[in-house]
Amino acid sequence: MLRRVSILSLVVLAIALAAPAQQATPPLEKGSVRFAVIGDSGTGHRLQYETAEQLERAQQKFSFEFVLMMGDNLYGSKTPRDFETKFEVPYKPLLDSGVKFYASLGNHDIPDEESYKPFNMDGHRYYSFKKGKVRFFALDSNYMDPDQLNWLQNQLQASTDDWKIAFFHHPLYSSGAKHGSATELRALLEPLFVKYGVRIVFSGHDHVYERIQQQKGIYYFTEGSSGQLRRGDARGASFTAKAFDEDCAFMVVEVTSDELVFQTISRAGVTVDSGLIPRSVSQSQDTASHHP
Amino acid sequence: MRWGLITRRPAIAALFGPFLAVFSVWSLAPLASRPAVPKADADSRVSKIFLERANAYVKLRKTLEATLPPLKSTDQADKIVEHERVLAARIQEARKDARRGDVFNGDIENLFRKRIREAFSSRQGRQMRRTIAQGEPVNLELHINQTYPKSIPLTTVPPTLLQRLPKLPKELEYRIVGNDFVLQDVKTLTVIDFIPDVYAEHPAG
Repeated sequence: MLRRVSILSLVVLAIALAAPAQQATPPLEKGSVRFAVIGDSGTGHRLQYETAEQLERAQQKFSFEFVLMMGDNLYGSKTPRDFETKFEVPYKPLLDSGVKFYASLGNHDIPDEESYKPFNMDGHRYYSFKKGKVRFFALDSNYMDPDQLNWLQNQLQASTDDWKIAFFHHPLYSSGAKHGSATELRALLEPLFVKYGVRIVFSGHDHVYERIQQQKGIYYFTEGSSGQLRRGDARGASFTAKAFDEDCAFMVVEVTSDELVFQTISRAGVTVDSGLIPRSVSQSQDTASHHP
Repeated sequence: MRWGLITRRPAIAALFGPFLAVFSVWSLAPLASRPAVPKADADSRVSKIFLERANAYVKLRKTLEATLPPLKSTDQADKIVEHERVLAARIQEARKDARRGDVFNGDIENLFRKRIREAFSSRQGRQMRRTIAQGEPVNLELHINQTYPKSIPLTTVPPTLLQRLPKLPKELEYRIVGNDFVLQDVKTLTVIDFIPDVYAEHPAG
């Protein structure tokens, strides 16, 4: 009997794996908020430029209006020339077409970047902004002092927006072998996110893509592979829903009143992950489909 | 003469002299040799002196920055880079006689060492060490007034440590560089002062 059940399980599993994966593509709904997510991008090297080309193609298809940057926007030296080669040149087509970039600071960045207009930080190392029904919170996870925590709490408390999305450099959950989960930061931030209804969190730092299973009503993503790649670094953990460390990647995201649809695209233009997240926690289940 | 003003006014001297003398001796004496003061009060007094020094630096910095064209949000990176370069040079020139321990001297250094030791010995100690390790720590021989190199990562400071330390004006920040605990200018990355070998006292485990 046990043997028959095991064989049956294997057959079911084989069918499931062989079945064509359902791809969640952004619905391109009128009035929705569309954006892209890149992280750890600012190398000035070939991987960044090729990923940027793919990002430009995605913009033509999905018409996202802005890009969230997960930090490490400028690696190495920070001369005026570096601002060009590590940001302005690779993203020139997007900048020229009016796409805005909203940066958070990574450990390779310098606070000066907050004065750099194209990063839209408006002179602050942490800040928030609103797009449609979505409120975004950009944090400086490199220096999470009590002032910043108080600011975040006040901002979250005051926000009556349908969606609250936070982004910052260090991932609260990560199976990356190089860095892994920022557990100290998690102990401080996650209770605030839960209390004030943050639904989505984007981070970078580990040079892979990883989607985390829902944690306390929150979906976490790591996108730290838009200019650097640590092949084989995503070990996978009990909390991992999907990991991709075979190529550089970025995300395109569309938020409507009731749902968020995401698609993760590799440097080669392959959709490596996609899915849909409902706004309401009560309706929530991991509906994301997987692509090999 | 130290009390010249008072000795020229005998009536005032007679009235306030003994009090001022006692206050003067008390305020100039090393904290350790003073009569027993409740520990929390002593700590808060040392913190206050530290913050006075931090604010004195900020005042100097603001004076120097006021001599430069104001830096506004700009898409010209060269303006940002040049502003910080010139400001750093002026700070270094104005503080050319600064020495290690000017801010973190005796009692202040002891207070910070104690707070840091307590933090790393607490329940969060392991997580704090993990935060530092994840932030790509760097080893660098520090010198007062040097500009922290912009080409190497800024170290990540454990947030629970920041909760235990005196709150700084926004122009300054704490960093841990190698084993040293650093007080640094946020924008110019100028090393204002540091306490050596603090982190070495707290090996992993």
